[in-house]
Amino acid sequence: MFKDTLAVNALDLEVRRGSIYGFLGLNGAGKTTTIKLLLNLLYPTSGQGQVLNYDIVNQSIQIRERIGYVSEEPNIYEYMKVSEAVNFCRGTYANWDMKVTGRYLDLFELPVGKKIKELSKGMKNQLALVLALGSAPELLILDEPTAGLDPIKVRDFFRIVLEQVAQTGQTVFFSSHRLNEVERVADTVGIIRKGKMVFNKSLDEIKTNLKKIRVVFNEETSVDRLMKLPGVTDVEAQGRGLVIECDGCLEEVLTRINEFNPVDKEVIDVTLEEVFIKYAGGEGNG
Amino acid sequence: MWFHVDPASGVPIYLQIFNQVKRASASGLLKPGDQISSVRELALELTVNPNTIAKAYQELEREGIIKTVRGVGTFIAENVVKLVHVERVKVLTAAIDKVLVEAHHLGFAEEELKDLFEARIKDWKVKVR
Repeated sequence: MFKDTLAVNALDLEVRRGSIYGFLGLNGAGKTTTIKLLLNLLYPTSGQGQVLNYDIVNQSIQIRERIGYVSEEPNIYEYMKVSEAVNFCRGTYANWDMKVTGRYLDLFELPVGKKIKELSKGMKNQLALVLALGSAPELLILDEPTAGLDPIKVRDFFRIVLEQVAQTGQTVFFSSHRLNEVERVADTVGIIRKGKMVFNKSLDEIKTNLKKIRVVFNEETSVDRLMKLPGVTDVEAQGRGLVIECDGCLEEVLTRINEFNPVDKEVIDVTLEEVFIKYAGGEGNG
Repeated sequence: MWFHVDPASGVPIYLQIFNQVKRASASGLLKPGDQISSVRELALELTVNPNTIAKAYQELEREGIIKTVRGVGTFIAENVVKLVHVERVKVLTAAIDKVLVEAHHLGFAEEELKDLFEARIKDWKVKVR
């Protein structure tokens, strides 16, 4: 896509309506490129995509009418005053909600009389969100919306997003590097690596199904035998013990392990951070 | 309210909330008829996904612990006390079963296990007193 490099290649991505989707990946993995393709800010060389059932290439206008977008670096109308920017956006959408924008401008305490170029990075992000929500979008696309915000601003930001979700049931698709905020806010997580989706699961599923069992056996136990147990995805030797990774079937695996007479065993939860490192990480991601 | 969530925990957030409401009603902290926060209120308070709170409330309602009256609010159910007792028996049974499995693998005989159990009860009584 970018000259000879494939930025996003054969990416399989589906977001359920009404969900809050956390889009994760290392820098350069293709997060922003994916978002730009969805918005037709980049033209796909192959493949197809739909947003809200509209084709991303041929029906981009319909899509843009129905979504709100906050980019990584919101460089919006620097020369305008905050109030002018709101009025400007209001003019381009049929269903603009002045009550929503007014309320959120107050809540963020944004100085409506100031020029946008005089605002801090945090304030620009907040203004971009307010403008994105003004058109009552069905889908909100946020590209690293909280980068550079302090923890209180991050919380304020998500409270507004969540309030909109609670009231209107809108879908949210956001990319982020902050795993703790993703764990708190998202219901589904996708990981992109070198332009390919390598992981896609609901957070409840991750927490319920992905477990590690650290186990110590008295006698030599073959790793192969353990690998054959249902749901076991990996077995790794650690000192005298073994760490068995499993996806679902925890009770069954534990029962079967007991047949090998373990000296000690312990079930460990898998964190989103571990999932991220395992799937997103690795060599030369650039 | 006094709910709290730990997003990094291995327990799904909906289950954390589910357990807290259940525990609160079992301990009497929440009494039958008490109103609890709406999905929207709790989602904003905890900064978590409203869908997650809704899932917790659905499970609680399914188990008869809470009752949602449309347009009015969400309340602790009237017959929660009886249910909670059933639930307590269930939780303890599961805990005992785990001990039994462990005892089996450590090669304990039934008598030995019973003796140990009684000894622990005696010990514990002294401690609480």
